[in-house]
Amino acid sequence: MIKLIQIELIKIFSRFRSYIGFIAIIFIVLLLEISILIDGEQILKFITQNLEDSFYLKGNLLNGYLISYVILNTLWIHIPLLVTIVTGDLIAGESNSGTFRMILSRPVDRSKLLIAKYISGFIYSTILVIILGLTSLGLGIGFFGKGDLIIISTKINILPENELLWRFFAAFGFGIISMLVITSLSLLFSVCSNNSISPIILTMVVIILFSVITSFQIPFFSGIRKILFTTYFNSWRLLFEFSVDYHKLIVSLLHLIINSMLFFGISFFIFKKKDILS
Amino acid sequence: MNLYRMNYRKKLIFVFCLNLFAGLLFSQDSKVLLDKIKEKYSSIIDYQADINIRINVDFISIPEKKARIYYKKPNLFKYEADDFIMLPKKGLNFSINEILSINYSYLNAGVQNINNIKTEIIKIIPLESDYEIILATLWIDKSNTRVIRAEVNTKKNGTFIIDLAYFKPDDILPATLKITFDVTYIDIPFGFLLETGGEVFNKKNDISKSEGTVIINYSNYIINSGLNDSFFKEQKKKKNAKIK
Amino acid sequence: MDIKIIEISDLYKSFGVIKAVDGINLSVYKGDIFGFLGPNGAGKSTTIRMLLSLIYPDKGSIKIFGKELFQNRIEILKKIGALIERPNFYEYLSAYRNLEILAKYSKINTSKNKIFEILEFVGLKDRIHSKVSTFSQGMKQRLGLAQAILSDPDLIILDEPLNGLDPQGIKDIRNLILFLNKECGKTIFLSSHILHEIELISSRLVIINKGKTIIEGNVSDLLQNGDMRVSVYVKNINDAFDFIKSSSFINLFEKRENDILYFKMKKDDIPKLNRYLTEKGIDIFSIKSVNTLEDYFINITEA
Repeated sequence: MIKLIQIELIKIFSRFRSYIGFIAIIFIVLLLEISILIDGEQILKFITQNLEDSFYLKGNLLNGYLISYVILNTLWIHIPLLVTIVTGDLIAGESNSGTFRMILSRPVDRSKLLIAKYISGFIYSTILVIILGLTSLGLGIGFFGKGDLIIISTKINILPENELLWRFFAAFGFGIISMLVITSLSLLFSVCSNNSISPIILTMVVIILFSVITSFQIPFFSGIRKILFTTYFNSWRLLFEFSVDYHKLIVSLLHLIINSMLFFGISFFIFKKKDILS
Repeated sequence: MNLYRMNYRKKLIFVFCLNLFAGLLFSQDSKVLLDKIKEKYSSIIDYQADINIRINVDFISIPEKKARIYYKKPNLFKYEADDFIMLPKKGLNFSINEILSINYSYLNAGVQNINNIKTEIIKIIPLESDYEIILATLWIDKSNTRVIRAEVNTKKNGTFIIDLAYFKPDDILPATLKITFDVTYIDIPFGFLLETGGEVFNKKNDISKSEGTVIINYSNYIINSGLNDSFFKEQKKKKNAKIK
Repeated sequence: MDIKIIEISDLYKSFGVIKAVDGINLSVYKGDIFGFLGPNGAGKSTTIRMLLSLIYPDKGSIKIFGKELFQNRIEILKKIGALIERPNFYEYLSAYRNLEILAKYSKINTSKNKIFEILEFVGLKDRIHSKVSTFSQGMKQRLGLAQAILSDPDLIILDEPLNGLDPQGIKDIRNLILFLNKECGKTIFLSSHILHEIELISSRLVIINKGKTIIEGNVSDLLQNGDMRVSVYVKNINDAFDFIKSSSFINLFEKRENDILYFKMKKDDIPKLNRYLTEKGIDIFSIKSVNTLEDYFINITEA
C-alpha cells in the first residue's frame, strides 16, 4: 500500500496542474496582506469606531491573527476548487488518458489502488491547507505582528493572544477534514466519469448548490440542511467563540467524516465493479 | 404651641418654615461635607496602580485584562498594557476632585443605605455651560468622608453609575470600581466581513441587554510619585480634542 | 503433453442489448504464438479485456495457467504482460519513469539497468529520458511492448502490436515476437488486423465473428483445408473458357485476365481441372495455387 501511495504521489506532483493550487494560494494571500498593509487601518477603524466612542482601546488589533482570520473566511469557499482540480482527475484522468488499462492489467488490487488514490488525494489537500495556514498566519504575523483577535460576528469576541495559536491549528485541522469531504466527493465523480473536467464541474456544482441551501434560511430546507456537509463547513468558526462549544464541534466533525466515508463507500462499490473500457 | 388647636392654614405655614430651616441647615452641612471631600481628594496629586479589568457587556466577550493606570490631577489619565485592553471612557475618567473644583450648585437629596453604609445623597449641578457633565449625584459615606457611589449624567455620553469600594476605612482611592452604563446606543457593524449565520445580536429590544458593567480592581498603588505632565502627553492631546 | 495456458469456455458479455461476446471457446497452449482474429466488432477487444480482468464476464470461465482468473487474479497477472490497443503512458514523464512506475505496479524489483536493457531491446536506447509526449506513434508502440515484457512474463497478450509502425518497424516487432517465443519460451496471444503478419508468425489461431468462435486450429492445417486461389495460364483462352463454361468447374471460376483463368478451389480439385483441360486439348503453360490467410479469413467470415 505504501508503494502504491508513493506512486500516486509521484504522479500527482509530476504535473504542473498540482502546483496551480499552491501558487494561487500564495499569490492571493500575498495580495490580500499587502492590500491590508496599505489600507487595513481604515477597515479596522470602520469596525471599531463606534466602540471607541464608549471605550478606550489600546493594543495591536490589526495583527497577523486578524488578517489570517479574515483570509480564512474569504478563501474557504475557493479552496475546494483548488483541491478538486487535482483530486477530480485521479481516476477520470487515468480513464481519459487510457493509462488505467495498463495499471489494472497488472497484479494491482483494485481496492488498494482506490484507497491509495484516496489517501494521496487527501495528502495533497492537506498540504494545500497547510500552505494556506503557513502563508496566512506566518506572513500575517511577519507583516503585522501578534496581538489579540477581535471577531465581530453575532457578538464581539476578543480572544487573548495566548489562546490563539491552538485555535488556529485546530481550525486548520478542521479545514483538513472538510477537504476530506471534497476529496471523497470529487473522487466519486471521478470514478463515474471518463473525462477530467466533469468531476471538477460536478463537485463545484454540488458544493454551490448545497451552500445555497445551507445559507438560505427558508423553512422548506430546514430538514435537508441538517444532513448537507456544507452546513458544517463553517463550524471551524466555533473555535473562535469565547467558550468553544465542543459538543457542536464534534457533531460537525462527525457529520463531515460520515459524509466522506459515504462518498468513498459509493466510489469503492462502483470502482470494484467497473468495466474498464477506455 | 398646641398644633391641634391651630387651623389648617397655619399648620401649613409652620411645616413650610420647618422644612426651610431644616433645608438651610442641611444645605450648610452638605457644603461642608463636599468641601471636606474636596480637601481629602486634593491631597492626591497623582497616583499609579495595577488594575484588573472585567467587562460584563452582553455583546462583548473579553477575558480579564491587566493594565497599569496613571493619574495626575486634575484630569490626566494614562494606561499601559502588554496586550489589548478595553476600558470604558465613562466613569474611569470621572474625577471627583475635578467636579468639585468648578462652579456648581448642589442639593441635598436625603440619605440612603448602600451595602450597610449610611450615605448622604448630594446632587451637584455644574454651572459652567460647556461642561460635559449635566448632573452628578454623589452618595457620600459621611463617617469616612468619601464617595461610595456616583451617578453621572452627561451631555453626549449618557448616564453612568460608579460604585466604589475601599480597602481600609481611611482610604481615598478605591479598591474596586464598578461602572454601569447604557450600551443601547453603541452601534456595532455585526456581520461585517463575515456572515453571522443567522441571529444577530439585538440589544435595543432586550432591556436585560441594554446595560453593561465594567469592574476594575486596583492594587499596588503608588501615590504622589511626582509624575510629569509630559508623561501624559498623548492622553492629554486626545482628551482636549474630545472635549471640544 | 501440451499444457493449456489459456482456456476460455462459453464466455458471454453484453453491454446493454449488444452481445459483444456470445459464447467464445478457445484454448492456447504453452509455446503457441496464438492468432486471435475477427472482423471489426467481433468481440476481440472485449475478450482480451476479460482475459486481463479489465471487464467482468456475464457468464463463462476463463482459466489461465490452469486457474480461474477472477479467483486468482493477482497471482495470474504477475505472469502476464499485455499491450492493449494503442498504448497510453504518462505523457509528462519520461520513458524510463513510466517503466519504473509500471514495474512498481507489477510488484517487481526492477533495477535501473534492467529497464535500460528492455528499452534497448525494443529500440528506444536513445530516448530513455525523453518525455513520452515527444514520442511518435511507432515509439509509443515500442514502449508498449517494453512494458509488456517488463516483468518477464510467461504469457504475453498483444492487441494490435503493429499499429502505426512502418515496414521496418513491423519487421522489427515481428522478429522480437519470434525471439520471445522461440528463444525465451514465451507464449504469445496475438491479435492483429495485419493478417499477413499473423500468417507469418502464428502457430495456431482462432477466428471469431459476432461474438462467437468460428474456427480454431493450426494455421497450416486451416490453410491447407481451405479454398485456394488457382491461376491457370493457357494458350487459347477463349476455347478454354468455353470448356469451363460447359463444365462443373464454372462454379469455381472467378475471373479471366489476359490469358489467365482464375479459380477458387480446394487442393484436390487442381489435378482434376488439369486433367479436364488437357483432355480437351487446351495447352497449359502453368498452374499456380496461392492460399492466403486473408482469403481464408474473408471466406470464413462471410460464410
